[in-house]
Amino acid sequence: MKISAEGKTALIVNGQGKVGQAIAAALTASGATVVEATAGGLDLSSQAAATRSAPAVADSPFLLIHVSAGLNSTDRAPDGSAPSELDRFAFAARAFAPQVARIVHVISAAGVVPLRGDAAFSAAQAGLASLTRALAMELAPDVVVNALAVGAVDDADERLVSHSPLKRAATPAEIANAALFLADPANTYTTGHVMTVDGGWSIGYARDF
Amino acid sequence: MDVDLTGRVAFVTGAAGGIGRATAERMAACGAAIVVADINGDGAIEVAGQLPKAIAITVDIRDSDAVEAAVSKTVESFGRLDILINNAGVNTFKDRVDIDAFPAEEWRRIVGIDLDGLYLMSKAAAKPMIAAGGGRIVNVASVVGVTAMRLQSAFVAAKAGVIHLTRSMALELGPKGIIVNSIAPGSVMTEGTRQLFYGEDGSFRAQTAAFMKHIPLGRPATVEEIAEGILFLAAPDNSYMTGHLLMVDGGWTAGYML
Repeated sequence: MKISAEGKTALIVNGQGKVGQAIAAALTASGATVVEATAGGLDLSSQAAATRSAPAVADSPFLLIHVSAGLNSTDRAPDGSAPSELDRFAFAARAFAPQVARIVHVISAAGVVPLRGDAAFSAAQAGLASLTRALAMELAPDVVVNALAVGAVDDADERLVSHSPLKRAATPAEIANAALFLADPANTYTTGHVMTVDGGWSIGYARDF
Repeated sequence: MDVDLTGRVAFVTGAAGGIGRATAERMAACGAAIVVADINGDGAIEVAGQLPKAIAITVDIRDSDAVEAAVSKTVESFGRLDILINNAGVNTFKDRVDIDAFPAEEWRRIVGIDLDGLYLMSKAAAKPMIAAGGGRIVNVASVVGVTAMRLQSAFVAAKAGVIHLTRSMALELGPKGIIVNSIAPGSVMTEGTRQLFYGEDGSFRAQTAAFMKHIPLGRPATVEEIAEGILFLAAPDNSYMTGHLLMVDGGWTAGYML
């Protein structure tokens, strides 16, 4: 699947994990140049720092992809240092809002349905989902802001496969295809949406009881 | 979005106009053969006649025999059925009243088409998809299936039913290779709604202008914008999202703007 991104620049934050890399690869295949924003000088230590550092990161980016660090690590302890991930997502979105037309937050499906034993992680992801909706209202009509809520990927958490009607984890490329829809310049009317790509895990009970 | 539907067959209900027609045209441009199905047979013939590879079928989706026959004709004509777009739907324009006054015949007409008809179509179309080992079903719901509105209780209830039926079908058909999703258009500009939205001078009516303030993007969607979402849900590359409700509503349901 491809979108019309020939010659355009996309920014990604926390793109080093398998999902971020697959999204970057899909954007590259669509002709975009993908820049890791923090490597490019983005400072998310405060809103002022983010706003000050954002303009020099890339020339006229059309898209910001922000991947939750929770997707890149099995260490799901809540973020104890300030600023929190919730803050950093807001800092980045507001800093790049004058430049980009699309923002995609890549979060966990645990923000839609909580994972047993992972209360802090689940609540934090739900916070990112709500932030996405709030930013959609705040930044409309110039920027469309959406979230991609990711279920089981590759060597998945069994809890994220158990109820899935598709009975398997996603490949990173499948997640990237969904990201392309939200990133697509042709997506001009979906904003404030949490798109759940989880093989149906969150929709109901697929088990026999 | 660049989607290759070459060699695939898509059955679109309510395809003589509005979102259905735009979807049929968009999918045809991606290479699909299209079954243009509509209760308005002349309209279906006109749309099919403008597509490179298409047939028109006149069908009332409340009639289970007619629905089964339409699916059989599809398989006879094209040898397969890969994609079903359940787009056909109606709302009430004449009886904008509260539930205590809502006419029973109008309730049955709306629920009969929007929910019962969608069930009959899905049941019939799932059979060749199961036999082939997979397929895509996309159900056109509405934001009112999520966020209720006044004076259209039958439509609100039917669309909520469509959204949850989508999840039920996704659970049942997922193991058989069929991906089932729904889409929730918000306010959409069609020939029908154009008369509601605009005054004679082409400006928004006062009530419409107030309504648009609740939508972050501040405008109704075009039918092409809804068709783009449907295309993604029907695409072969959409292989891990099932049972989902894709909002294409300009942010209407993200929160309260006022």
